[in-house]
Amino acid sequence: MLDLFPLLNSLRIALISSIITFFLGIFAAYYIAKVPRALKGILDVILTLPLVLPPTVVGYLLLRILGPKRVVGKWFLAIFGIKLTMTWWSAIFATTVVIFPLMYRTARGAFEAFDRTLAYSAQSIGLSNTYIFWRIRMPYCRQGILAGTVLAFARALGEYGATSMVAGYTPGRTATISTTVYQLWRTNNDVMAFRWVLVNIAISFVVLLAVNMLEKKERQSRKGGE
Amino acid sequence: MALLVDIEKCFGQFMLRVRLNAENEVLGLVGKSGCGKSLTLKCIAGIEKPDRGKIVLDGVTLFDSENHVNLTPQKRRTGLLFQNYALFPNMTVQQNIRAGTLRDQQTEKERKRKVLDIMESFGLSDLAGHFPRQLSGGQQQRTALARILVSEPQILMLDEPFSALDSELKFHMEAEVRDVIRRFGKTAIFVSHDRGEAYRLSDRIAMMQDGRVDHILSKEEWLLESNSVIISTDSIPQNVILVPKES
Repeated sequence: MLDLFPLLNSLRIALISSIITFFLGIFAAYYIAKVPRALKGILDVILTLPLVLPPTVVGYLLLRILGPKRVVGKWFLAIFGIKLTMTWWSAIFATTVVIFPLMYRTARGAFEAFDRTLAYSAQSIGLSNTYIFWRIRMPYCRQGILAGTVLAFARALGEYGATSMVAGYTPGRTATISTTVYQLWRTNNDVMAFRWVLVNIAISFVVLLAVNMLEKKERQSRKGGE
Repeated sequence: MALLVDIEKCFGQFMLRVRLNAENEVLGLVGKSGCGKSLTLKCIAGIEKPDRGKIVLDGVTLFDSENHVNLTPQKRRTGLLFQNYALFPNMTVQQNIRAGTLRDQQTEKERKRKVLDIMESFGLSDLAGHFPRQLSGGQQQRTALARILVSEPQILMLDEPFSALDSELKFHMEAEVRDVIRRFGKTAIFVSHDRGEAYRLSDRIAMMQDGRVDHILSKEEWLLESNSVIISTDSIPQNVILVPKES
């Protein structure tokens, strides 16, 4: 019988980090569009870096910050008595950083396609910027943002490098699907490793199918809107 | 109900320099595309910020660079109709128009009555549940105008309102828009590159060239200056056509 802990752990980590990234990514995409061009270029590079850096480099940097002897980690341990690494939720830090660029870039693309005259006309009839953001801009960019979220979720589910460094592999505590596969393969448990591989492929398949359907729907609604 | 504009704005090589005033009339702002007409409207609406100058509407200072006054577009009460009408695609006709009632404190009942009334007067009642993409160009324009008027602006600004319509509909909508402006009764600015259109709809005309407006002409003065003559088969203002003198 398959111990389902890695599946549940992977799902909760992916879900929570996707929710965090959803807000962070949209927030960054919205505000970076407004900063001066030179600064925008630099910020854009910094925010996209985790997409091209090896996850082990992300993991290393995170340990440099969150480790129990490092600035933030030490402070948390002293004040709250909480260790930020090697717990199941430590993986959330890792996956959030790794998937952030996916959400940020898709949200930015969706916002760039937004027809600005809609915001202008809304302002001039007196609608607040908050109303415009949630009731006009977000619905307009909905499918693009949704596709970005699902893509980020899929990537979070498959994150290995940074997660294994920050959360480690402890069966029943921090094990995720990807770290479990590695561990089972390393210990020559090929049958179990293969089962988890199948589980992983099945989930990723469904998620990517959802992304494709959303993107197709978006193209159709764009066409219909013209 | 007076508008006073005296602004400057620099866009690289392009310099906008607009001085104009209007009082309870329809002011035509005429010029070639790219001469700064739309930009002028955006400055008045608060979407673009001028570098220097002053904009006053009915005694309220909307913008004054010297005293650092720059009201948000929401507070300016300038109704601006965009070329593409800018209807919210995720809302029905009724929801689009209702969005125009959200600025002022009022009960939901009052809002609903206003929306239903204006839909009635614009002939949109049967289309209340339609989305913008399901409407014809003329219906979209009516919805956009209704949404602006229900927000009770102090000035109506129309940016090339007929450019997105085919010629037959254009003729029809021109009459409708003239009627809307007349009922509105306050100052209106009408931007166009079509001289005949401007002549038919405006009381006075400001010529805009390379970002500059210096003076406003009466229609007669403008005819002389633009070297045009009127051809009209009868006295219906819609049938007035302007042509250059040479032809």
